[in-house]
Amino acid sequence: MADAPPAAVPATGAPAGIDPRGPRFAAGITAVVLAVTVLTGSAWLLAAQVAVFAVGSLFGVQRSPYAWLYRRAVRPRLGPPAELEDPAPPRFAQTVGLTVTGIALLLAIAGVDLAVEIGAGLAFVAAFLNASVNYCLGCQLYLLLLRARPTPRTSH
Amino acid sequence: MNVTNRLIGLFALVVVAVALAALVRRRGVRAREVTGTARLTAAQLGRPLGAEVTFVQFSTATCATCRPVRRTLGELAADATDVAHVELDAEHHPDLVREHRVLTTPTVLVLDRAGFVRRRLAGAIDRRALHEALAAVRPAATTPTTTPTTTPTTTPTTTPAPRPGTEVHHG
Repeated sequence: MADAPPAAVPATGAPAGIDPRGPRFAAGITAVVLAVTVLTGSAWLLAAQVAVFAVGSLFGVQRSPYAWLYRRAVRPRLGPPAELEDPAPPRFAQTVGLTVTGIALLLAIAGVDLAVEIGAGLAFVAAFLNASVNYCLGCQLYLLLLRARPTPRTSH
Repeated sequence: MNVTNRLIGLFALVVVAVALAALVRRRGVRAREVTGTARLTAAQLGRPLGAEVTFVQFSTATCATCRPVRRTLGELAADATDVAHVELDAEHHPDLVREHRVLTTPTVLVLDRAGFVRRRLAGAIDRRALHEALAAVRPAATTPTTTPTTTPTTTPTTTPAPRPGTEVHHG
């Protein structure tokens, strides 16, 4: 456990960082899309949101269509951000969203009843918390997953 | 499933989400005094303790609020010679995470000069909570060892270097 501590945390600031209001705006859109998904039960709409999560997770939140919308339509109307944020946490949140909605979509395709509604409902609550009080549910789960991991890797 | 049921379902979801959001907001920062024998040593931390106070911050790579806490603690440690800031990646210190029951990041343990945990902060840790914790754990300015030349008092206003965010006018 010698050289681990500071290097693993993105203390180097990860080039510049991103406008923290971008991911929150994206979470707001996500919540609306998922609410409509619950209301309609549309697997297609859920699939669209799964695709958005996948882009954010694989290529970074800045590449997500919602981030594009933020830059084009919202950001020009706001002042510059007070501070920049590390893009890694919101990206991880996209991965959590992708996992939950992705599993729901697969179950729905397999014919499981209410899979769309339940998956979209869970993701809706997480997105709502992110948009309203900037609370990242997925990020909290990450630490709990780490703790649950059976083999403590003390050396890295 | 008919439209009414769907509306009821969505309504229930919104109620749950709003209740959770209210809970998150209300909890804010959780700072509490610790009176026990829980202790961290320089060997465990991999670096020396501060002369009076050591802030041990548990972080994860996915933690959005760890960065501002890191910045504030970095400033506190830079401003005072008797304060140290150690940041640990929870992922690489599962033993310490379990031992100190870290359930959320950032969690900040405030150690006294002997390494005993005296304060514990979690949740929406802000600048004020950290300053309060420092003032609480650091011995009062009237400690017998006080040498007026070195020891900064509880208000670190005599900072020589400009802090980020402070307006500095040159010329």
